[in-house]
Amino acid sequence: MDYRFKLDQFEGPLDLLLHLIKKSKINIEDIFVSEITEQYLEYMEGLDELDMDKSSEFLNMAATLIYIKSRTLVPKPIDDDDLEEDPEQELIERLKAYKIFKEASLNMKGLEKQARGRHFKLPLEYPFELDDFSISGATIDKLYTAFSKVMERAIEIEEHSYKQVEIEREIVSVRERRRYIRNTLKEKGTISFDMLFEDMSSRLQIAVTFLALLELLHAGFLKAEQRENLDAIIISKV
Amino acid sequence: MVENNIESAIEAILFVAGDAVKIDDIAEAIGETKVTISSVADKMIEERKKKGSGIEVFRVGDKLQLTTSKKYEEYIKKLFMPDNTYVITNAAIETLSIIAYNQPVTRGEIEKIRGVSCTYSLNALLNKGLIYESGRKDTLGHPKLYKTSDEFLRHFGISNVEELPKLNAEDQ
Repeated sequence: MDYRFKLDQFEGPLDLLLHLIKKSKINIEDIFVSEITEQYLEYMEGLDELDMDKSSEFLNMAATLIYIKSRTLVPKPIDDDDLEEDPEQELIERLKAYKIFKEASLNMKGLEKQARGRHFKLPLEYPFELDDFSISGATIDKLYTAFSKVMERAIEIEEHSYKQVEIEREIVSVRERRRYIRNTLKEKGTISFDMLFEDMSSRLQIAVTFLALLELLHAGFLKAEQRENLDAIIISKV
Repeated sequence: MVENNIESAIEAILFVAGDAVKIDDIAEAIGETKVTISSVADKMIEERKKKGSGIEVFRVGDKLQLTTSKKYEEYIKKLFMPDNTYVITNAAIETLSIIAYNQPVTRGEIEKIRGVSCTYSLNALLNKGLIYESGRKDTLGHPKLYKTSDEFLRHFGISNVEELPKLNAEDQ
């Protein structure tokens, strides 16, 4: 296939448009008095090579461009103007905003390159040896109960939602989940048991996260407390 | 405490911590004011740079952390080949730059600027710990808000978000 139409080199339709604009050496504002729309449409030949999500974004933009171009060919009805935002102006604004952040990302890549070569010590996972370690029986029970509830809810959600076709096999590792828990606590300080699992509906993810939590509790890195019966279990750093 | 001792105390604390430590916490532990610790830290940063020290002090927001000087990177690589050198994909860094300059920001706001879905990038950035969910926006649907983290500062070698290069705002 003609390499010119390789769409996966672009982050999205805005990226492609900026590329065409730059190549034609015009201002963003002049996009519609130029051949940019036609050039963009030529690239649509490469749509088949993309996944559905990305190709629909490109297609959406193609439709928008054609719509805007068509408006310039037909005299605008008088009362139409003030009601809706001018789609041409809106697109120009979006292109300008995107361009700014594309440049910002380039600058940040430069920063990243400069910062390489600096090493930081990662926090010790298990900072201190624990000789006397005990969990009160009550806490283990409560943890198990809380975990069972979270799992039950997840099973309910799975059964009542539409069956989704899984495209990728889910890979969840205990180490990654440990890091996730520690990062969450680093930013939030403390978190309730329920909140920690709030956004997870995959049973695999919940189970592995729970394992990771137990490991961190066992190591003494975290602690779990419950003030009164039926209160929320609060997880915090030791 | 004599200033020399404050420096040494900070050194010792940072060594044991490994990770970044809040200036407030250091101040409380040593029994000095936050302002004192901060200015001693600035001095330490300056001196070590001048001396060409192998270990430098680095500011991460309102925290301090020990780090290695870039000058000795090749030796470190030879001995340890550390695997914490990862480079971010273009999609992710676009998403990240939008968050960095606009934080806190929702997924919808990010996608509006990028023009494409950023689910994958957001997950990758969350997993790497470069961003975190800072709360929810008080609008319909209560969407999550994202901010950059300490790890973000370390990865780009800056001490706070203000040190990012100014946006080229043209005639926006």
